[in-house]
Amino acid sequence: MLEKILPSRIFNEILSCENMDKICEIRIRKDKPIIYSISGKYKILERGGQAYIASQDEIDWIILTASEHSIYAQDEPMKQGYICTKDGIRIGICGQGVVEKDKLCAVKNISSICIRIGKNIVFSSSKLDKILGDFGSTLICSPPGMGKTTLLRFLVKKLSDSGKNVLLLDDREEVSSVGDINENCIGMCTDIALGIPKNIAYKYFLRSMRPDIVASDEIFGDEEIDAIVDCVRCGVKVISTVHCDSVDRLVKDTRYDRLCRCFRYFVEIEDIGKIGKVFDKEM
Amino acid sequence: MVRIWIGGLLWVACTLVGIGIARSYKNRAKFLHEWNEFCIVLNNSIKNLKLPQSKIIEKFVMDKSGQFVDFLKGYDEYLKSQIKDNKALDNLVDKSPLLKRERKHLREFLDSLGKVDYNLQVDILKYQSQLVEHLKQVAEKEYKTNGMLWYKLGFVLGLVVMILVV
Repeated sequence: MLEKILPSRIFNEILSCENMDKICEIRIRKDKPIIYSISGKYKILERGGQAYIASQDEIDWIILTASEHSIYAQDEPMKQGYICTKDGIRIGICGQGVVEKDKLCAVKNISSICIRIGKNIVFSSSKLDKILGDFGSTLICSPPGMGKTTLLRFLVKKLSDSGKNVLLLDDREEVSSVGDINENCIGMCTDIALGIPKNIAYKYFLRSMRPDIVASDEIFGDEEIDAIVDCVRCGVKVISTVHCDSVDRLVKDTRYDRLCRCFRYFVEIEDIGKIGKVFDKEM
Repeated sequence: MVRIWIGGLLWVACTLVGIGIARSYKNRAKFLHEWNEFCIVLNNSIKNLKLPQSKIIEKFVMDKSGQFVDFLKGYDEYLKSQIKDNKALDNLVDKSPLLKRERKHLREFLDSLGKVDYNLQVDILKYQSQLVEHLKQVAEKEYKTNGMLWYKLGFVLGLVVMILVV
């Protein structure tokens, strides 16, 4: 898939150094060396013994190709700082913002991009057996890049295959169709609300699809917390993820009191693909 | 007898030349007509669904044939190719049955697609659609007047030549 979005020069250089399947992140910055990550470790891409310096043209090329030569189709994601390719690769973008009345209208002069390649990691389910056996609302906590989305996808598939109707709110289109992951990887009883803002999706699909479980990635903002509180009040279980370095810190933060009260299980991710502690509030 | 044969052949030749010229007018009008149709589809698909170019082209060319459809297929291949060579796009545009100034518009039209945000793209498409609509009307009018005139002229001239020869 990367060969479709990377300029052949960059792709071939990476290919000559590494096995493409192992690469999980590529960072390209204007006039800076290209850096890629393998299992969380960053390496500098070299060409002829020297660092490969990315140009603005190469960044523009990637943006244009990743958007299928249709920047207009990526208007909303770009305002949120990313582009999602049709193969599900998510490209974070950073550049100069065009702001009007405190609202971001566009991002221009994109100078940095971060290409994240989704991997279908299989988690050992021994620590998750209790959650899967006696399911209650579950919050997955970890710093960025540890595999929250992957674990969410894993749980969604398991719960969905066990016959529960799961509504997956995939507003950033990265849970259901990332890299080598296809819709079969998210279970047979999963309904996907793709690319729909979560505040709208919670409101409408909770009524129309009557889910047993609502799954969403990366809780952000009071509006979403309100929606989760409403869901739980309605008797619908929620499974979600949040950025934090430890469950302890999250629980102690009074700003998240309302959120924490909604969840029964809290799952920490220790390392990439490795589940740490699982807290059960009812124990 | 030979004169009748030669006269007949000249008549056919003149008529064919007339038909050829009329057909070039017709092809141009047809190309512009389909380009205009594509603009409408493009406008609706971008405005309402924000579909990417390749998806719109895929839908448009389905079960269709003709010079414009071939042109669009070529453009789609160009978009999907790794090497973006402006000459390849120029060659594609040069193969169209359009006049030089119309080819220039076609090139500008392609250059204006997919490089800007939604609002600007919709505005650009609105302007481009009006331009293509105008070009189409001119070409259709020219086909009806000049194209048919060339056809009739070829036929009549051939007839006159045949009579003179015979």
